[in-house]
Amino acid sequence: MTVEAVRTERGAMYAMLRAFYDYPLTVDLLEAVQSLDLGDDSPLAPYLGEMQDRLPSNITDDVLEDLNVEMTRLLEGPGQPAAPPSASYYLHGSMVGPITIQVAETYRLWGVEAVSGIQTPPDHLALLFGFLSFLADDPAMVDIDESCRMLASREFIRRYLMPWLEKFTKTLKNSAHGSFFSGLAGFTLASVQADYEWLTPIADMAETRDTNNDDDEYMRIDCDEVLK
Amino acid sequence: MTNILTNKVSRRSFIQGSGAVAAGFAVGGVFGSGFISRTSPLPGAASLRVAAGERTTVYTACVMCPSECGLAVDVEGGVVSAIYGNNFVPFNAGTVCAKGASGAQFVYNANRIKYPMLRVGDRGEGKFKRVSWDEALDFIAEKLTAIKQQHGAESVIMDAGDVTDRNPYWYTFRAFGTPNTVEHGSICDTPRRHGAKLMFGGKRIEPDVMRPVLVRQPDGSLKNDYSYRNRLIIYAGWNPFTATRINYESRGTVEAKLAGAKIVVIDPAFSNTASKADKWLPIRPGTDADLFGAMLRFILENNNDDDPFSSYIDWSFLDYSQGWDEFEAAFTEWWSKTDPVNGLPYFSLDWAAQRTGLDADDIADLAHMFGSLKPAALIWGMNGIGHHYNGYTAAILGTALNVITGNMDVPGGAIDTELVKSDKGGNAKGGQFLGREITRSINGADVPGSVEDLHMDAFGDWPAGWDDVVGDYPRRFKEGVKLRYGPLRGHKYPIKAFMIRTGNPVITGSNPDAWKDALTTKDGSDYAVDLVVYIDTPFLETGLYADVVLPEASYLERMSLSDIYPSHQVLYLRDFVIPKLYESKTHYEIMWALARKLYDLGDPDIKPEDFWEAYPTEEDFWNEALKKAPGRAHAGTPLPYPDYPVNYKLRGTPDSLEEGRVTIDDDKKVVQGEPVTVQWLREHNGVAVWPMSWHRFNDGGVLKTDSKKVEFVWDYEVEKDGEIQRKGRYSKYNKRLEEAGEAPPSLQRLGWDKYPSTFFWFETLWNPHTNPDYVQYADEYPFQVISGRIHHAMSGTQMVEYLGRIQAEDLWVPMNDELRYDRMVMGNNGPEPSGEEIHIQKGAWSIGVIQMNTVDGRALGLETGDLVRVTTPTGGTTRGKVNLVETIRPGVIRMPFGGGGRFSPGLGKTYEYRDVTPNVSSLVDPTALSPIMGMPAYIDIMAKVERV
Repeated sequence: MTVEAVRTERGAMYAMLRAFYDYPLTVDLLEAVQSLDLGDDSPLAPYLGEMQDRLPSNITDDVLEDLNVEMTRLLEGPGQPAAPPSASYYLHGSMVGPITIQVAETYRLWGVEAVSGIQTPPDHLALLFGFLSFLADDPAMVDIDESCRMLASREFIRRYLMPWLEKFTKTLKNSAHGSFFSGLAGFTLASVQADYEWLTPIADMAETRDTNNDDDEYMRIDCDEVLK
Repeated sequence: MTNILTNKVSRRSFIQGSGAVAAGFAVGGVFGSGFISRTSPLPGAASLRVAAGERTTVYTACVMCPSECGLAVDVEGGVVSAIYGNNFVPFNAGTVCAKGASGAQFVYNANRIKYPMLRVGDRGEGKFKRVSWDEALDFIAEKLTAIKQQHGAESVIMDAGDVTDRNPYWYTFRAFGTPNTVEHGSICDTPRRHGAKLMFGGKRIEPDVMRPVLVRQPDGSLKNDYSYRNRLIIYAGWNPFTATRINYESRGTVEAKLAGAKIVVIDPAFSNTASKADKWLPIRPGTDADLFGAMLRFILENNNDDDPFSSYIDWSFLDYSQGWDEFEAAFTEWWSKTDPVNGLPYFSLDWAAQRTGLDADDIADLAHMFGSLKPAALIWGMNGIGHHYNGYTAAILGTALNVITGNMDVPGGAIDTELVKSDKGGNAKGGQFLGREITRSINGADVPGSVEDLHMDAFGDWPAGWDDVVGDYPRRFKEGVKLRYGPLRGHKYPIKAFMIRTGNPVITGSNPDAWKDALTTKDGSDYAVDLVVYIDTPFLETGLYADVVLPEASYLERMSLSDIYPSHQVLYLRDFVIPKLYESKTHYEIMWALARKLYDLGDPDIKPEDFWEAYPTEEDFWNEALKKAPGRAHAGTPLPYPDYPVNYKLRGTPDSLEEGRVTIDDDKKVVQGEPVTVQWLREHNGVAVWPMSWHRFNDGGVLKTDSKKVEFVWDYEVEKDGEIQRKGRYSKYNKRLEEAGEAPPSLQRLGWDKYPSTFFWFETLWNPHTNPDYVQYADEYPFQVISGRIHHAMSGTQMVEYLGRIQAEDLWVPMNDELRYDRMVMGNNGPEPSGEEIHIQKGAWSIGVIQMNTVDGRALGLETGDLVRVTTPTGGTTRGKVNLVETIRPGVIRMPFGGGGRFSPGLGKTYEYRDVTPNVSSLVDPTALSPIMGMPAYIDIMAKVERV
């Protein structure tokens, strides 16, 4: 797998995860789920299978409607949904807290903004995934050293997703009425955990790089600039 | 891996050699990141911008309770970091309570409504689907259009609830063509206000304890006055230390007492206010009017102008009143009548003692003290007098007592706050649309009238229901409206749409079962009330019965104006503090967007020149609402602006009036300074403060009666230009009744054929001590039920954890059992477990309880914490834990108003104790609507108590 391919695939994975949590589900997204083939040995495979089991070959309006009604109950409201997709909720008990400010500050340092057009708190799960996708593969990032971006991704996941994602996905799974969202819970956790594990040695390498070693052609940028 | 860890190979080789988990995801790329570099232009509104280190303070107004205090909110990085009181707003003078300080926990609460929703299940199930604003508003606009075409715009009710910034809602729906634009006041305390309304054209009488007040000094300067001149304050069923609307009353009462005032509290329960009083009189519920009547009789019988110790009456009131002789005659006529329950003459001390359960000497002392300790204020409250069937009589007698003793609008006395507060609304209220001409077909003939003539109360069953009759809606929803009076008499229409904003009538608008039944009754396969729209920030019970749920921006995310019952003209801004969260919209945005949808559907009454062309921005709209401020008569001593003519209306900023930048219109009698604007308020600490004065009833002043005097008669004749004219607050209703030849049902129940022209008397209902019709129930139902306000009353703030733990008197106390439970959320078929375990330790969470005297509890074999059922003769029932205490009169039980039995999971832990907390509204007799204003008689209740 080439660096470019990894970049694209990681960007795509987080783009898809973002789409799952960015209401509403669409036919395009569900068809993408149907067509996804990660191989039997992928740690995501069983969860993907659960999601695909819920989807008939022909995704009708009724199927889409049912899933969006279920998504509303689980993730949207009215009032408190079953599984608020918010870091702050699980860490601080409200929809805006210290982590919201920290995440927003990270976006600011990276010079990015969400384009949703609404004032969703920055630590909403869809935005967290969207930022990881942007970090991985957006053309605006090409000038920033890739290793720094991977280190940043790892740090972002470690700080802003790992502390609460397991609790969230457990709540989502327990609250889900069908296999789609139950599968999505496992799929989400497994995706992030696997990516985190994969990123860790690379990030460690970036952190321990020898900046005086001109032989390391991929480690030229002072990552501290983009990680503070 | 060794190579990687020792950093001896390039990362490229590692990547090439590894298997990224993301492999195979290429298909997902089409969904994008949803992010954009900030150097690129952003579509739509900017997202939450957070700049490191950015800190500001914004002046605004609270809504954590109905006091709506002035606030100074610190914002760091776009997030609220602290909430303080605004030092420049004299209403709260820099103070902020626990509720106000915890506002961020409300604004950022997980329970708040975040997105528009459409119902997809049955009403009450709570099954919704998130939709876009366009979908939601299209749905509403199409329904409204169809209803208007089929039934008329009057079939739509716009209930703008409790928060006072209701102008955009009323404006829009009045323009749409319905006169049925209502608000919370109708289910709050209308009987309480009745005396001031009839006699002053006012509303709420409060003690003169708002400090500081800005006062013109003898040298012409303006200075803040911090002095308390009160010598006596009597609070009857009024508890300003617990969640009233009047912030300054709690601290002002303490300050007045420290300055030498006596405080007397009349209340069946030992309230927080009673704990600060010199004397507590535990009166029997529903007998305040008896007490006031006895006080008035005592004063009239014992007044001696020549004796300084019993010179109770200040006869100067005759100079600015009319009709006292008629009133006194009607009152004294009762003295010779004998009460069928106790056999004693009305209003005698012994008679009052029998009825009130107080000692006759205490009543005489109270009357003597009130007549001789001046300045004094007699104040009565909403949960007592306001919530009884005959509260009007108490309000009238109390008002008369304040007037004849010379205590109205004197320093340290009593003030009608409605008469002296600033105008805030002007044309932004939409009153101009009510005069629009319409035609309705009645018995086959086209009959002309105006929009106003269609009003369901004023021309229906409740001609004097000035603040509308929300408590009667359950019936109206089922039976429709028949106009009995006015030019459109005979016109019938159904109620097909109910728009409710910041209100929760399913819990608080009389009996919850009646409301639920009304909102779920079907006409064929459709609901009889075709459209229910719930607009709010928190998700309360009424939202479960809505077809559409709309997220209104929280009070820190929207703009409007505030001023709650100040002693003089003070007006402050509610400003944008933080960006609107999620997809919430301000009231202006919601209504303008709906207006545009209606316009696009061809509604002929929605005109661009009234909406987006007239007020293209939110600030434009609120500037319109400010145009007439302060708008009150220039009156009193010391005169606020000595150079301007008395009784002219003052308009304009305090500085322009002070500095003479005005024009004076002698024809209209207006002194017009530079209009107050949002920007002016922002530049002046968020608030406009005009000078205070007293004696504002003299020479007409601020009074709003026909005669510009205090009126003791309410239907009288005057001769003008050779013509006899009928005047007085009731006269216009009586004319309608006479024209129609029938009295409304509520008056017929009293045996009246019209509204009385002066003092009247009738009994409360479910009280065997005063009403012979209910003596038969006394043995089986020995308790009288009352309610008390807690800090969550009128606000739905139970969802704020911090506030949920705080105790309020003996009503809302940490008597919870230990509980481990799955957090409940709305499921497909009602609430269901979320999978998230919550643990509440015993005694760690406050719940609503039934406050009962220890003696009564022991007699029933009860201990504190026992679960009991409370049942009424009309079949009302609720249950809860008893709290046996000495702080309530024996024979009376008290429950929190709107505290228990809450069935919306949106209230957090309060919901978990719904089965063991009492809902006093469930006991309400749905037919017991007080006969003049239609207010539910919430605590006209007899009950029995049994262990569960």
